[in-house]
Amino acid sequence: MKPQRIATGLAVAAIAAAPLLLGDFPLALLTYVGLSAIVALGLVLLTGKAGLSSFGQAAFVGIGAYVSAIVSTQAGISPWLTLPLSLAASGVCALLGALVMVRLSGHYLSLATIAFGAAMFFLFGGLDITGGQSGLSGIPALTAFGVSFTQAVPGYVFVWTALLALLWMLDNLLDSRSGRAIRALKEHEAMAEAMGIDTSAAKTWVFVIACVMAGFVGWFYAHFQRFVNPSPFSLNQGIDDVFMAVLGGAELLWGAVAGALIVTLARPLL
Amino acid sequence: MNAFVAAFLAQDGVSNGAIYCLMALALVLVFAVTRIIFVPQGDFLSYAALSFVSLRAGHVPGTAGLLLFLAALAVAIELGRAARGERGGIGRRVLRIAAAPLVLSGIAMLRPHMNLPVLGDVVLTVALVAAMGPLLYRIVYRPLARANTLVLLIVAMALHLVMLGMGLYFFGPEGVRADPLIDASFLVGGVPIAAQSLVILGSCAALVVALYAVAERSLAGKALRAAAINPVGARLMGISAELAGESAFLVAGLIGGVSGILIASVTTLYYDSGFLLGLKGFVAAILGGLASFPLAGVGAFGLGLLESYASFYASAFKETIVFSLIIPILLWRSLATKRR
Repeated sequence: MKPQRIATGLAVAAIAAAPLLLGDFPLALLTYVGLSAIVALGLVLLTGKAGLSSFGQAAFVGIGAYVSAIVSTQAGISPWLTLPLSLAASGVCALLGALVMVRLSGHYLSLATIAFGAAMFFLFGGLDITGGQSGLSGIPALTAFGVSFTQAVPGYVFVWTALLALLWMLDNLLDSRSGRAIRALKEHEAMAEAMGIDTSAAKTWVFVIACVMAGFVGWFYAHFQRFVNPSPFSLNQGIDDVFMAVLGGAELLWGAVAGALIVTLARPLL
Repeated sequence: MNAFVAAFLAQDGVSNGAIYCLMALALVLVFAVTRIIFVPQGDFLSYAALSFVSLRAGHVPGTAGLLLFLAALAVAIELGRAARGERGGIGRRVLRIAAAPLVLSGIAMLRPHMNLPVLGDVVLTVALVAAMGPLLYRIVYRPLARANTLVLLIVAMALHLVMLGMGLYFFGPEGVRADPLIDASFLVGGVPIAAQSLVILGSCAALVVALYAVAERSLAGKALRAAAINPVGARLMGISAELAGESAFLVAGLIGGVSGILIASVTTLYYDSGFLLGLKGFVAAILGGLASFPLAGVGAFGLGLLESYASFYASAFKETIVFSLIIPILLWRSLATKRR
């Protein structure tokens, strides 16, 4: 067996063993690590693989969270039914964003996403429907077969299963023909174009995938916390997300997990 | 809205615009010379405001300790380089790094025992913050001189977070507000004009003229411009890129210091308030493509006015409007750059 496979197997075993060994508080903390890791994973795909940068991912988490929070609270429907809405909302916003994004390059792109992150944060805080700065409370919890995912163990299992599934899917994606096209975007855009790859379409897809992943995190977050306000979706969080992706090594998918772990665990110490 | 309200909002917009203009000026200069998108510019502003208020209150400002810490770090790096072989003139090099910070921190620490006029505190604050600029360049950016813009930006983000943390550590979480430099107001055509607005506008104009004069007339200014316009050519002519970078950061610190003092009496500032003001400076700077000083200036005043009228019509959305504005501008700049 390749050493890489053994390392992956050990990591998965450690993740699976954690609920048996750890108490509620560490598990809750690890649930947040998992959520951050999914956002950071999207950024690894964007920054590390496709060479695009986004400081606005926290805003997409916010879109996912607010859409589900508003619809499930006001229409009184199950969070499972609002999941497609959250994913669609973040995906459509990403598509619109991508129209602008594929035309921007280098630091212009970074600055545009910084501005977007700042603008969305103030929008969340300014609208009536999002409850302004005081936010929305009383959001229904996510439940299945009588188990509430707001509890430590089910929450942990849900988030880390999703994370591992996404890691597996992205690994397969990057290994495919479109994956090679995505990896070519970073340093060999001209070559990719010469090979007949529609680089604008590839960039759009990468961005949409990363943002839908962020929207998924937002959806879960809203029903895990059962309360949302603008502060976790601020520009600073967006910057933190980038650090997570860069700190764990922006080239590696598992780096997102390592980065999220380091940043989330180190924050209380600072 | 009647004419009275309009005039009042215009006054507010213009004085905010002047602050954004100063921020934008510093950002354009730093970007032109070093290719760094200098996110922590706003932190200079917070540091200056907080230092000024604590100096006025007769305390030793946190900036004094911070400056000593940075100087010690820079000296340590310089000694490390000497240990690895670059021995030539190490004494002189260390002296050049440490002299100004030592003197300034010394004065700041003796300040509680002195009776300084307001102007003395203004000068001391500006000097303390300005001295930080070149040190930050030496410590953080000199080893990265050849990195690409994106890496420099991410490092700038990290530096901003570090400066934010140091700001919290050295100044605490309390908000501060200074007394106006000139506390007066008078009526012009029935509209009250605060003297502080004129002080802000006047200082901004004076600083712009002074910078223009230095850049056009002095040898150091010409060298800086050369480094900005054509880095390779400038190096061939014997202009040190490092020196140019340090000078740009010195000017950025100077501008941050002045604008911090100016705005401290207009609004309550916290250790983290500078970032948002810096970001608005960016919006203005980007209007000028991060290259044109006059366009950035126009953008800054336009932004100040837009924000001020937006706060009247849709106060909940004023920040959203201001920051959304940047995206069409960037799109236009990006397309315009590519066509060339």
